[in-house]
Amino acid sequence: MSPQAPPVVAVVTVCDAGPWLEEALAALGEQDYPNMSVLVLYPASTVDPTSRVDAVLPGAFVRRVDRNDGYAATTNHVLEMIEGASHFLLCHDDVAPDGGAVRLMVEEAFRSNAGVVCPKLVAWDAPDRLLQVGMTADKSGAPSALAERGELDQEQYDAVRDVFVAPGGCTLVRADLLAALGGLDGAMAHYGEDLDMSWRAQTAGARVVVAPEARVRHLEAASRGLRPVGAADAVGVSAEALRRRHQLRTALKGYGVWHLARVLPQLLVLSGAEVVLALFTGRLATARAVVGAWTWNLEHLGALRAGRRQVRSHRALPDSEVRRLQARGSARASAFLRGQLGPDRARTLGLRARPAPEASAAADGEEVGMDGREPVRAGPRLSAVVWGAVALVLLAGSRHLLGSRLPALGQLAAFPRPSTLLRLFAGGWRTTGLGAEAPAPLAFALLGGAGTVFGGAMGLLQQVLVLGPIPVGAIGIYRLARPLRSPRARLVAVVVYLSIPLPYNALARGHWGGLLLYAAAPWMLARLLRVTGTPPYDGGPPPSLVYDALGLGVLVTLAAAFAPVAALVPLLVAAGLVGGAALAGRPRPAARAVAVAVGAGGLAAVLSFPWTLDFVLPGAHLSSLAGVQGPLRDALRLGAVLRFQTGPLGAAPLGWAPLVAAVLPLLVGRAWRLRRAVELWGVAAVCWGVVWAAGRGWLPPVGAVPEVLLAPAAAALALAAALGLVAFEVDLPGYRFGWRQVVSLAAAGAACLAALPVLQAGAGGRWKAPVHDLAGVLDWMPDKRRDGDFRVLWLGDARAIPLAGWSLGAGMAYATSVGGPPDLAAQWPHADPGSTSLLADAVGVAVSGRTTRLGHLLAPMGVRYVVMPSRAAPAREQTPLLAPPAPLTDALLDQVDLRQLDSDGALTVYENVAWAPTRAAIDAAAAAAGTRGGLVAAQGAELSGATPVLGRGRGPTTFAGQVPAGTVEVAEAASDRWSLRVNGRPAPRRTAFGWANSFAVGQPGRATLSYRSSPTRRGALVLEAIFWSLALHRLFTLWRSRRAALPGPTRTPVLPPPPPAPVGAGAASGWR
Amino acid sequence: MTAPTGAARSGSGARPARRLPALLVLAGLVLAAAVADRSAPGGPAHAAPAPARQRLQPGAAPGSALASAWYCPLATTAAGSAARGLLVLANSGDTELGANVTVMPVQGKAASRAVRLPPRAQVAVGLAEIVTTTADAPWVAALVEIDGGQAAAEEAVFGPSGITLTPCASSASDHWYFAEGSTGRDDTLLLGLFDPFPDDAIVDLSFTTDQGRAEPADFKGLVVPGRGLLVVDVGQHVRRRDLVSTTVAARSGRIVASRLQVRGGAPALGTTLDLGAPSAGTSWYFPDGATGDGIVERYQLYNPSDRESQAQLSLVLDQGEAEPFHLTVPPQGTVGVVTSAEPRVPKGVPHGAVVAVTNGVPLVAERVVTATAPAPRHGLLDVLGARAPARRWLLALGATNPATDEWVVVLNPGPDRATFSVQALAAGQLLAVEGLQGLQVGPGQRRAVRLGDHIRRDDLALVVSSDRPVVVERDLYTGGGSGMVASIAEVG
Repeated sequence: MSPQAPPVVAVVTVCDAGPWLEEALAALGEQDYPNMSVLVLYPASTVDPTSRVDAVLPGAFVRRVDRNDGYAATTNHVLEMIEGASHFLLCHDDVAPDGGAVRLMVEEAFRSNAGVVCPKLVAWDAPDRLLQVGMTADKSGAPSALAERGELDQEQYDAVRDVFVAPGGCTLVRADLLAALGGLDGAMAHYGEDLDMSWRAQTAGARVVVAPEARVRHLEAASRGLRPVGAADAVGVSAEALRRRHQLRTALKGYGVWHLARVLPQLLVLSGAEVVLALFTGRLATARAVVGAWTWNLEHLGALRAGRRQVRSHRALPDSEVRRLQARGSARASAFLRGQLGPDRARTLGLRARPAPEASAAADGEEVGMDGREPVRAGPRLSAVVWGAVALVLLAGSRHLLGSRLPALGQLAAFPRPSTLLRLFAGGWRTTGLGAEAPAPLAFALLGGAGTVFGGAMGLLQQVLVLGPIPVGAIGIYRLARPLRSPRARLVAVVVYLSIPLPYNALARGHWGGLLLYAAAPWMLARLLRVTGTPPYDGGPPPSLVYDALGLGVLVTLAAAFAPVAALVPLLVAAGLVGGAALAGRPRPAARAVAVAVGAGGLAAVLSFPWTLDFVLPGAHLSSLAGVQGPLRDALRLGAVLRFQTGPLGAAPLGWAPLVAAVLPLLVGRAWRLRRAVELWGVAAVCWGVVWAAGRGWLPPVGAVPEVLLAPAAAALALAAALGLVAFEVDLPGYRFGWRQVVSLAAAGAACLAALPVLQAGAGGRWKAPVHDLAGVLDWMPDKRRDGDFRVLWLGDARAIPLAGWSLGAGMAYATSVGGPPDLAAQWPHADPGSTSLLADAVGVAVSGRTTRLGHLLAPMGVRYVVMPSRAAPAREQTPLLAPPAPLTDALLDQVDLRQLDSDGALTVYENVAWAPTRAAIDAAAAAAGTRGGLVAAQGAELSGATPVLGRGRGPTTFAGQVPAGTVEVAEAASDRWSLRVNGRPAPRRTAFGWANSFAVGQPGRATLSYRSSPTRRGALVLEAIFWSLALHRLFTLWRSRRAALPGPTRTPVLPPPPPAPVGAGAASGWR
Repeated sequence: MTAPTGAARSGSGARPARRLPALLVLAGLVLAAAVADRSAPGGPAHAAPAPARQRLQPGAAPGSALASAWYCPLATTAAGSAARGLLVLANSGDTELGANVTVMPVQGKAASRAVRLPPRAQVAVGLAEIVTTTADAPWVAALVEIDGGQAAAEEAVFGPSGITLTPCASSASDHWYFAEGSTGRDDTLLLGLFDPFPDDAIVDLSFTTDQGRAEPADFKGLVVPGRGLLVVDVGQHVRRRDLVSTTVAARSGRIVASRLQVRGGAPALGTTLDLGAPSAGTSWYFPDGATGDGIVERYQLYNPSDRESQAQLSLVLDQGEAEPFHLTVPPQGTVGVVTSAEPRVPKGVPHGAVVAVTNGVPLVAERVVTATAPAPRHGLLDVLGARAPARRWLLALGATNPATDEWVVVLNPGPDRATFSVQALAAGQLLAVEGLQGLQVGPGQRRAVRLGDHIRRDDLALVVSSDRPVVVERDLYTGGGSGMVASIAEVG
């Protein structure tokens, strides 16, 4: 030991060190600094390293610390143990300084009069690669690297300079300064103590400099999952959460009062924005960490105050001076972006961790990647750019739809009030057709409940549910692609999924069901892929048939509540997976998907009870399940099906682009990339095939809303495209240059070109959805209710009428709405038309030329208007011509009691001059005619003079008002649950016209007409509630138990990422 | 396939995925589907449905019908007017039907009368019994609503120049065509535009005359009131034209159009009331026809389209054969063939005629016969050809008595021999007319029977049924006066 050199003590804090310890100690032993001693500290709870230290560095002192409170607290013991040292070299046990590093740092400390000196940190295994050369932080304490991590060290940073943060690992600190600061912050068990110490040192007036000529190799053992966190406070807490809470603590401690008052609101805003961004991108752990940072600091408010007092006690510089070296703006945001776009060096640095056991090749006989190569990682910057662009395009493309009334096109009818929906759901009386006692769709309950949550803002709810599925689908596909472990592949999946024209066509055609399935399909596909338990969906807990069937079943139930044919989707997907897997040579794992799909379908049937019964009881029409499909002649051709051209988007040649992008893994993929690609193409092929064959009449007509069954195909293709990128990154380099590279370029080009039609469609601001709708054309109609309530009979091509109905054959449909254009309550007709079929009979009689008085036939049914659209939107919108057949139009023209009204060119409107209100007092002759049944009775009755009664509605099935003596006809399907009480006394009811209700009123007076729900209906609702409770409880229980079975949030990740905060906040501490 | 270089193989025990079979199967599926996709899916076409027979020519609704309607467009109910109307309703079914006859005058209020139609019977309703009009506005139209099918309505009008008869229309149309007409000196050409529906119709009239096209502005945008009648005197704006072919086009709504033609002069030739043709067609059938001294027979062909039409007029002679006439009708033009002046048509030989379009451009064909001395019967006869053969024909009005000579002429345009029978609706009985059962008519032949030789009744509604589709024309001749022709097809 040279008496001329200031004494330096290297403090090495050891905690369950791995085999690297000897190398680290040896490096210290090889230092050329003449006056250095080594002190090794280790917590009591860890393995005693004395023998290992003695073997390598016999002169070192080894001391045991009683408690394991983390690196900072353990290191602080040096202040009690050592006196007379000039400097302390605070070392992790996984750093190896070059031989002259300590000397260079001490020299620089004196030359620069620095309080803290940090070296240039380089990778342990690749010393030519930089880790950190000092760093900075922003006002919130978020660190920011000054050198790009993994960058080749070409001495480009080899200049001494002031830095804001001396990254942990190997830091020279003036001994008196450390003592003045009270040592490291012991509350920071792990991560962040380096930032805190540097900040406080500068507050105390000390310089913090980097001496790049001093080079230190750093293993970053904890970050790479080579050892667990040891401190009790940190167990069970993720590294990110620890960093966040300590960064915030440092910031809250470091500022004076006035500066803190200025910064604190900014910190809150930044945190809020980060939470939103994290939620949007599916990084729930980050969101939790940000929120947790605040709650943890609030819980440790006392310690925080103590820390602030201490900082105040040694403050020598104002905050304005301290902030001189801080990064401007949000270092986290800029680091986020910079890290995303910059080339990722982790792979070349050898920072790849060992494969997770569950994903290992041994588990599945698969290699993780070619040559052990992992897919190239993209930083968060690219993700942010892509997601930002996606958000921009979606917002711009929907700008004219947002905040304004959506066109009531197809299934996009206006939402009734929540109370109406809930009453319809609970009451058991359907208002579709001529009314019926039938279970109401689950959608009424869901929408009614959601509407209540929205405070009755049903327009807003509709916007959320109609426009929301597109971003939800994008998020879903992003999550679906997560197991690919390639952020770029995930982004490709998002871009390709959004480039598929399906959702925009669904929007332009008013196919809400298609939009909902677009949102749900990735989640359904994810469930079914995960249950196969094969790479890359073999991470996480092992698949559970019950759990997955429950989860998928609930999802399917929710989708099928709005689009009943969605219940078929899991089966189609499973069938496609099995088919594809058989092609790829391994069908067995995929067979599990079939079991889950069947289970999910069964659960959906149970959870939809008693609505399910409506579809299976005798008399049910398939059209109520799947909708009425358009004419066979207009069926989608194969090319249109493949291109998802169900509407204005998807025309060739650009319409083929998504398929070209998705074909890449079939051509260049290997191992699981190829296998999964074949399965996904199998899914797409099955969905395409069903839609195409159903359109040609070879299958039951399930393609009324083709987007519902095409949505899984879209998701499968998008995922296949993502697999293509993975194959490009992993498999392609293994091939010699040839056609595969050309194909890859073509696929990449196709993925880019695929977006062009969508961008073009979005330029209009409404995805080519019409501006005007038929409801607007008929907006005068509700005013006519002053003459008495009435029905509107809709006839025509099923694709043109803006509500769901029953088939008239040859792609034609009929349906009714009440009092004007239809609302959402008319979208799910009861499956057994029952009395409603009289409407079809009457129209059939007219079409066959067997009556010229259709109006009289429709009069007892309360039909005042007959509307026959020839387009789905007003003529000026130029939507496709869907003209009803000439026999139908001619038949209506021949009716002498129908008056044609002036209307838009897209629809023909007739007024029935013989109509009677749906609740009317009729004369004796009409009442007498009504004693007979069928259309013959209607033909002979003259109801045009009937008087409207019971005009005040108190809900969909309760009406009140004055009634005269005589006969009151109620044009609802006959049921003895309809009752009329006049002056408090019930009026006798009988069936009129063979299907309606007629009440004999003896004395005029005030009357109330109401429908009483049946006890069976109430019982069924209770049963349905029980089913839901059981299912959700079981699902939650299973979810919790599976979560509990996980190793914990700090478990070694499959591919541990390099620390997002490369240094600062102790991100790369080798001690941990 | 290029082998991977420098690549680690799959893990031990892993079976490589089968790329080629997968690619082949997927490509095969797409290929097979593409081949299957080349054939258009089936299903009824909406573009050009075959028009119902009732839309081609008047026709009764089937027996299963709940209701049917007949539109009888033009008559008068004013005392002493030129065309006093009489409706004749015939029920060929087995059940009694209720009917409601609503008479709608040009001015004034419509009135209705309920009528019972006994089964297998004929009922006559004088329109003046329901509404009486004034001489200033004498015209009425009638809507007959019948609670069932298998019933038909005809309208006869009586006047100083004789009696004329036309079937009522069983459907309305947005277009009506008349090939024949005259506004020459002493002639009167009236069009009755009847809108039986609740909403108004707006109508344009255009004409092709012997002096070119005429589209008077005053005949544009004519409003035919809903449930009302508009009578247009064509001669007011298309003056002194010996030949006037007419197109009635409704911009909105549908109507029924008829033509009342009064041929004046000295002596007056007579009056004809005819329903228009609701559409142009490619085949027109005329079962009867005659030439001879004093008889001028003319077939008038009117092409209302914008394309040239080529047609062939073939005569079906009872004796011998005649070369067909090949005719070219210019767009919106008219062509007349005076067969009585053609040497290829033997005089005095009864004949039928068939007009067949050869280039697909439809037209309208009428036959006009004027008979003057030395012909045995005098008068004017104008009839629109039949469009579609049928197996069953219902003739509501007829009589065989000393003052009336009635003939039924059956034309068989088909390739097979047809056997037909004639039955009378006789006060509730479907009476097989003796001697007129199981008569045969060869393919492409016609057969005329004189009813007076087999049955004598003052009210003689007939049903002509055949085992093959035929066309039936009924000719009524009143004591030396004008002949009358009508034909009604009943959908069987």
